[in-house]
Amino acid sequence: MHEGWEYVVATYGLITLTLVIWFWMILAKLARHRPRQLDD
Amino acid sequence: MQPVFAPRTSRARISPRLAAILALVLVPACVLLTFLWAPTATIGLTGSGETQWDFAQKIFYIHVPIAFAAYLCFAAGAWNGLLYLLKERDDYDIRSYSGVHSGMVFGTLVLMTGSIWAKAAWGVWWQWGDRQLLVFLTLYLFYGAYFILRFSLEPGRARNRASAIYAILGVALVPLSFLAIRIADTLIHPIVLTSDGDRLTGPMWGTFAVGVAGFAALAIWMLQLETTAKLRAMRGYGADEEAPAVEASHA
Repeated sequence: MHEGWEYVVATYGLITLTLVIWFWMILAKLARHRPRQLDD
Repeated sequence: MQPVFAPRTSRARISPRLAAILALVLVPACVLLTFLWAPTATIGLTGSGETQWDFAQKIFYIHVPIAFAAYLCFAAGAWNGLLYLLKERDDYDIRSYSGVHSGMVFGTLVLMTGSIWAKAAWGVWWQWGDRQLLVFLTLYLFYGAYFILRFSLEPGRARNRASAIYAILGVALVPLSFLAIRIADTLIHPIVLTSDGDRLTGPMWGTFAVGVAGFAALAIWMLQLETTAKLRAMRGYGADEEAPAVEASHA
């Protein structure tokens, strides 16, 4: 294993975690504010 | 079934589905190429003649594309701010706000990943002598203050105009950030985007290009999702206490 691998893992892990949380928050907001449908 | 509200007020310029597909393909591809194709960079030879590997340079393939994504989002915020000033349509205000919001998320990642890289490469988490860092930090803090401005004003035309003007002013710092690294006195920050340099090999450039394209697509996709969510919230979709005024006219 190369020296400094832990920094690389930390970087890619941090980005993955952030993007997953961000995406989840947007989806939750989209679901919370979903346009309602009316039956004819 | 009949939709109560029209889902959009204007057409998206880039298909959200296309941006999503490109992001979902290119970002993982960039990660795979980083570890499977791009060679590990070297620093030089040790005293005993062994190669010194620079494994932490792998952070470059994701750190810089995310910085470009942040610039793209800030630019989108400024552009939509300009459109708001010209047309005064509320959806442009929301698009501008989404641009700044998304830019701040990417910007936070740029600072954090840059700090990790600095620790790996230079042994310190933060290097105040790095002008590139300082310019990006200035840009980041400038747009951070956007939220203070926006939420200190009552919702309405005055807030939208102030936010739009602020978003436009901030984008002037983006080209300065690009130039700062080249006019810096202390060349600590690595320069890799040169035409005459020999710092990146072909596979390195290829991986970097995939990363830039992937994170640009991701930025566009997230911008569109953020905008849609904020527009829905603004119109009171799904929120019973905010919706009646609009819904009553359709009921």
